[in-house]
Amino acid sequence: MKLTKFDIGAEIIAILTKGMYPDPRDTLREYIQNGVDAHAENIKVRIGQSIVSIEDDGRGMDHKTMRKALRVGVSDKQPGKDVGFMGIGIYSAFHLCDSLTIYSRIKENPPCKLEIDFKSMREKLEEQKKMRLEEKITSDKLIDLQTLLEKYIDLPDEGTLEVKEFPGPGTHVVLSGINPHFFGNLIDFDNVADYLKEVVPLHFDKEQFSFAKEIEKRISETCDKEGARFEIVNVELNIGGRKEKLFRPYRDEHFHNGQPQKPIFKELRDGGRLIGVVWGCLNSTRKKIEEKKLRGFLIKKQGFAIGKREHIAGHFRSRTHFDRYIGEIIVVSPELLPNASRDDFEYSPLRTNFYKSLANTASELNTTSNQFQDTTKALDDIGTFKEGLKKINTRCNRFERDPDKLVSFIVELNDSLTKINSIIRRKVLKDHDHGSEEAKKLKKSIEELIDEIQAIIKWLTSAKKKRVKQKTVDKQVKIARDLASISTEEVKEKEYQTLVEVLDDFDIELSGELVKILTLIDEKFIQGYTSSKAEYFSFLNELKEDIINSID
Amino acid sequence: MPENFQSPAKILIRKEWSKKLIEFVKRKLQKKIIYLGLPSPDAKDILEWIDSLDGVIAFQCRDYRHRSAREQSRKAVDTLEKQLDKLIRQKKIETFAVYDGYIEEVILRGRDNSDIDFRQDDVITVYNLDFCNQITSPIKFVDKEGNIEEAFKFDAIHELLKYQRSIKNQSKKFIMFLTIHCGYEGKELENFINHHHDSGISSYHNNIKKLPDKSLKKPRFLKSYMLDSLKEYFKTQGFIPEFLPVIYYQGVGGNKLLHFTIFGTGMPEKTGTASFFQDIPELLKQKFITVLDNKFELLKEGNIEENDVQLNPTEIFSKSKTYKKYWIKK
Repeated sequence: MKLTKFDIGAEIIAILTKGMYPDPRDTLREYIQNGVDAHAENIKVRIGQSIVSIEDDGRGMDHKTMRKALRVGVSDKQPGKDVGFMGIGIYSAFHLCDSLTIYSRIKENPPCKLEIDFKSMREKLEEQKKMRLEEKITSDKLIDLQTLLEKYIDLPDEGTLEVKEFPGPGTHVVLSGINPHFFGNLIDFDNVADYLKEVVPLHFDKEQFSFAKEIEKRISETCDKEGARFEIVNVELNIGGRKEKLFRPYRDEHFHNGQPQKPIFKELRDGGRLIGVVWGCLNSTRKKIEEKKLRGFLIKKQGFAIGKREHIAGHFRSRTHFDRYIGEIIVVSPELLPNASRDDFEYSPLRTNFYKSLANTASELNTTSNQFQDTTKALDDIGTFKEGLKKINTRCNRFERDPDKLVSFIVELNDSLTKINSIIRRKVLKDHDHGSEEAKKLKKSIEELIDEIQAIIKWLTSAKKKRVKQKTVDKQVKIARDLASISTEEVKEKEYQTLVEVLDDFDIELSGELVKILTLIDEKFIQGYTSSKAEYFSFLNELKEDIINSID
Repeated sequence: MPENFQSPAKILIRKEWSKKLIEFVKRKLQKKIIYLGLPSPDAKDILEWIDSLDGVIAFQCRDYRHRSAREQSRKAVDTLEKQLDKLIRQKKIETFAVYDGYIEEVILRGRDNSDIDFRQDDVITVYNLDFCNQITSPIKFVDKEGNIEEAFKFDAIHELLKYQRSIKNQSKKFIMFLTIHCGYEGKELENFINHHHDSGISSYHNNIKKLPDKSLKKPRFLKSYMLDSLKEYFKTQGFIPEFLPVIYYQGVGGNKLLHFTIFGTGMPEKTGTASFFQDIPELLKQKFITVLDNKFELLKEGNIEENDVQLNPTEIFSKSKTYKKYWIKK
């Protein structure tokens, strides 16, 4: 079968770009991506009254390359090495602006310029659409893609642009006549900056994130070893005079108490081949990362985000553990290609293996988080039991004559003993510096106190009171001394102030009415049940743990 | 496009007065020179001074003759933005921002007519302000919280200096050019003339009132108002002002304009209120400089007794106490 140029209608360009770049910020990403592919070190994005410009110091394009860049769905870029390879990105601003002008220059070559009149293209297509609706034109009279592009693209001959017009080297992209519908979205600095911080291969913020240097170094080394490329670029965003150098969004302050845990690195492999590197920092407490949009892991391919964090939460068995991390999955394999909308990879056996390897890594990361949960919970318990033991030891002195009270002490101590035994048996603290020792010491003290209380009970019913009483005082001092030698770590937990705050932490959507009801229950029952503020806060923390355990 | 920007006198001031001073500032500070002003859509000022500038913050109203309105064409704003983007592309400047509106509107309201927030992240080294439009004071505007506020036109200068002061760890030396229409009749000027001042200004006003012609009185009243107000604005924000002689010239269409030149020098934080090394009554007694046959001359009007001044701006400043004390590297 033979086809002609009339078989590809011009409307295809509007359909493709609308589908692939639904957000005006996607267009910024596309042109930044071109800069990264051109090995730019610095990229400046400027958003003004009606112009958006993206300027890079990459290697630039010569006339021939610029001509090739105009092809639709054909690209000289290599899918494995370059970020953009679909051959459509140059048209990504089709709906965003009236015209696109690109200046580019390779060092020592003459600069060149390209202009695309998107406004006239859109008007032409609109006019056709209207005529079709009014049945004034038949489908075989519609403008074809080639004619449309030829008519509205201007690529002056090589050498016609003076060097002073664009000394370069690099590329300067200008989007003029920004569509007012998109303007509001683009002049909001935080809105644009937040987007770029997630999707562009920026540096880590060395001033705000303690492990920035370590992570960058480690990933670079792994990539170098495997001959892969770890993309990093400096991006400066300037919107209406507000000018900032952008970094990846991770900061110490996103972790509780401003302290991320040391990063964990994992390699994703397909047999012997490296597919990607994973880094993740666990929260410093058993809490979700407070900033919802940063919870979990984000897949990045050549520095650019693939999908969103929540898309891969399903590969982690536990959402709770996923939400306690901040991290990235940096894909370096040239064969694993993103799909057109960049929300996943194209289907291939490698994609299957990638997700399989990711699932294994996710399981390891869950285990680490779980171990941390068990360890900190055990350490908290040791602290709590120690305090309880101290209280009982103080109250259980020579003057205690109430057998019921003494029995209740024994019940409480036995409960603690069961839990301590469980911690020791499960070897929860085996990796902790002194935890195991402390648990054993505490166990011994509890047992001694139980013995002692039992002896008091016995003494209350026996004739040899004097001898036992003296022994009790000595024992009390010994237990107090032993307890003092048990060091418990102070784990700074979030102090929940209300019941609603606890539920908020689980991302449970609460309606206004439900919040009112819960507040009432909180005030009438929970706060009424507890005798002090400290006890109330501690109750809320316990409740949080119980909920976590029941969910897990 | 503001015609006053293109009059022969304005062109001479731009080339032979301001340019020399900007080059002087660049040489002295050895830092990036950031311009803030109203360059006109074709950016004539900027193009004239381009060799000394590194960045531009520009204000561009849509229709220079009239108050800003939504229905006005944005062409002038867009043209200026394109012009500045071209300078970036040509590697002549490193950064720029364009605000849609008159400077006083944008500064006092905190955002421009396109809803872009005004933000000053760079320390400005060259201010080129123009208050020749028809907006008189007091100006009513809606602030960021939606409250209706009222302010005087020249409060914008005070706000700019406040921004300048708030940026830390930067050079606090700058030059300010200020052009005002002699026919300006804002409420603040009226208040000023009717207000009692220290003996120097009062006696100057008494002498001015005796002048026979309104055209002789107006520029002198305006000059006294501006010198007194600017001195206060500068002092409040911790800057020492150094006034150069005022240029009184005729723009296109016969408009009479006053051109002020002020060097600002930031005082170190610890020293408190900024000093002032000049004497306002002495400055008031200075002759105006004017433009005749495409060169600067001293203006001699009637029998007014005024003192001669030098015509070379860099020489005038170089002889000042401010320069000797703060601008020469020791």
